[in-house]
Amino acid sequence: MKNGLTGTAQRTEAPTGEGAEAPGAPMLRGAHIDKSFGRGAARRQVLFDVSVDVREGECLAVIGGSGSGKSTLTRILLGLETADAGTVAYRGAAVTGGRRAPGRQALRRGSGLVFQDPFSSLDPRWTVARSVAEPLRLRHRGMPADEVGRRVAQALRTVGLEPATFLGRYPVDLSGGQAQRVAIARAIVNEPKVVLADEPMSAIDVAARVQILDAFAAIRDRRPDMALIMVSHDLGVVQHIADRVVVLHDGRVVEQGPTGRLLAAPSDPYTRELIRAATPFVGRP
Amino acid sequence: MMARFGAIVSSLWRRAGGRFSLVVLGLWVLVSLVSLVWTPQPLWRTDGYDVWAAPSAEHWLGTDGTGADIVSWLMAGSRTDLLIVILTVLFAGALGLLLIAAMTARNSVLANTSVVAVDALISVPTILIALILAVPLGASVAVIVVACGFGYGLNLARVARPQALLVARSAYVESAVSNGASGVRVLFGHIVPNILPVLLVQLSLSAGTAVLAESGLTYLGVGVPSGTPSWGHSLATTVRFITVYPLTVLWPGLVVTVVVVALNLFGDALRDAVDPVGNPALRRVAVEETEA
Repeated sequence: MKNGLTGTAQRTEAPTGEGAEAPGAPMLRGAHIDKSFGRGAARRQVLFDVSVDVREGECLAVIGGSGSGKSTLTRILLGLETADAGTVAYRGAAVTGGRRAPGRQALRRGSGLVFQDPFSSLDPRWTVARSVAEPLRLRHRGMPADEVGRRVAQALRTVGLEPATFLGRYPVDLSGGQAQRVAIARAIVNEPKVVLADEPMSAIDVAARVQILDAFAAIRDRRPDMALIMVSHDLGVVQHIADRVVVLHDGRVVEQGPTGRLLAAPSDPYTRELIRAATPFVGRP
Repeated sequence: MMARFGAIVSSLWRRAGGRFSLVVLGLWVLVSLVSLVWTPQPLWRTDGYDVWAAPSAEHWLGTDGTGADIVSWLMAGSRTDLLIVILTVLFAGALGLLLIAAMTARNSVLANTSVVAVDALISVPTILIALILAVPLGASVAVIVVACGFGYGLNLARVARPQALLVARSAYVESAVSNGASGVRVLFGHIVPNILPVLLVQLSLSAGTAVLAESGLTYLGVGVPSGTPSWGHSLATTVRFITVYPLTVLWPGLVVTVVVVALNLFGDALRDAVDPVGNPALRRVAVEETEA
């Protein structure tokens, strides 16, 4: 037994072999990122000199304990937060450096977001059809209604929801898993180049997690060039879906590498502790 | 669209308060329209030998101190009050939304400044604003509309701000903004629909309070000008004789009370009827429209 994590079905072996880097050119590159919150005596630095790459077509998992800076890092990578120091570049163009940064708009256009709580991420007074269509209407102002409808239906089917049943529903009539899949459909309807999923399974029940994982698997099969950044506490999920893992501890990258290698032979004590803590809960039939 | 409208009206009608308010407000609008072409007696017909007359076949609710027919003046006055209510609600709604947009802006300087400004201005009494406005404008409908609309708009913004902030900081707004949604689109697409229940209740209360304010300001001489029929005018010209001719005060007072109650109930009922979260009938219509 390597580490107790190998019992779950996995898609984690890097195609170029155990221990090799995942394929694809770096699409998104964060270098030497520092970030603090608060002012004066209340100022607290949450990221210290963090560097990370996201490659085309890969699923990068960012793991770590609560308050380790996972969400902050990924939000900075997608230009949703500004870094105090360091740079972020999307396809070589700077994302950091203000609203007029050359890569910022391209990244916004080419990214989708999936949040932790599915219900607070969907407007409660919008139907599923309207919510999923919103990115299309914002990004493609002149798109004919028929085309919008077709792409919305296609996105819903990709995540395993039958359009005829769900288009007219409001979030209040959806289960947690269904709502999260609608949120995922909204994130992918624009065919983004990179999707950030910030702990997308932590607020839903275990049975629904399988549906979410299936939805992500279907999306990755359909869009092999799309990068997925997944923030997660759940090493079972990470093992199942991620190609590469970045481990954050107290705002610092303590270890990163291909999922199989990192989970089988962690080099950092904190990573070993995370895996040891997760072992009783994963790998069971 | 018609199916949604039908679902809203039927939801309103199912509730006793909704039914009552629909009937009263419907009658108000109807009477206002009818008074444009017909009143039981000509408005300006006065009879010095028939002042303070009791109700009769000729004067259904009696006459006032000038011998004018009370019911005719109440009918004509309903027009003025309807106009005041509509204009005040529009003014308050527009000002309130403008302030909500400022208070929930991503620019923290604008947001904080507008919060302080609203907190400071909300302490100025509506009557004081009306008295100040009456200096250049004289007694007029504009004084009532601007004074009340200003005060109610500030109040609306203050009451709706917490809910609006929750929406403005929500994940779905963040998603919309990351997709390039403008501030105006976020305001009218996400914030307004989600604070609509609060807006409707506040605006209906404002409408009711505007009717009361019209009466009060007209009594003070800064509201509807003399000679223009309004419910406040009917009250102002009779209230001094309440101990001698109580019926002449009772009729306009009753009309004002019933309309204010109806407006308040209408706000509550409409809030529940138009909100898809609280009204399953609206959600069913959305599903049926999709299936069709």
